[in-house]
Amino acid sequence: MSINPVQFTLPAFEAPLLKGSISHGEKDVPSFSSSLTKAMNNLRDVHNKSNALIEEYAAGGSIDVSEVMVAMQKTSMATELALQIRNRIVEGYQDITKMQI
Amino acid sequence: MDLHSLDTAATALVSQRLKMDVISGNLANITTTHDSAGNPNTYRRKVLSFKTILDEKNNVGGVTVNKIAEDNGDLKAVYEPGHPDADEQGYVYYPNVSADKEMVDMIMAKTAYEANVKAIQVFKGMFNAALEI
Repeated sequence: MSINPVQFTLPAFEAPLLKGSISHGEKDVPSFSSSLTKAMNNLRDVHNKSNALIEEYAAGGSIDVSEVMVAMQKTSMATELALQIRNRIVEGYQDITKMQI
Repeated sequence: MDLHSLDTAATALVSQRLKMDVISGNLANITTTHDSAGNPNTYRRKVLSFKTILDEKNNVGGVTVNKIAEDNGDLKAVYEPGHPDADEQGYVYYPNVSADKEMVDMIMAKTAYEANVKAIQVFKGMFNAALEI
């Protein structure tokens, strides 16, 4: 009698998660890490934009204070969203690590 | 990230600020009888009109200033024979700016500004509520 070896490399969780894209049905869905990188880059752009506006305003540039405040609000909202996403991811990861095998 | 409400309200904030600038200009020039070049030319009240900015994709729009025009209403003729700008009959033509009208406009600009600030706050509240799901 032979026992099938345990398959550690679940096809769905293998390489596609880390690079490239997962083919989901017919269309390609971007991988988790590439979406995360994209989201982080967007967050950085939002931060840079509001920093630039703050600097311009502080230097006496001709921009409205409301523009600066709205940019700062956007930054704060984007950061909070990113933080929540991170919390959920860590939560999910911890659930998996605590899993009884 | 979709933050259209913020952008829309922000355009209104900028527009209302501009309206306030125009009102300040009118009030500052309430007795101005010469233009910027120094020629005798009575200041005329400035009025601004707004136009909507349509975002085709979402079919919602912000607002921007359409144009700043001059109010062609009658100037105020005041009998002041000793004034350097008085005409032969002794009348000085003062701008058609009325302080009470400007006050009303100012209150409208202020409330519109506050309403848009409130819209931003409410949108932020909705966003934060969504994060608590």
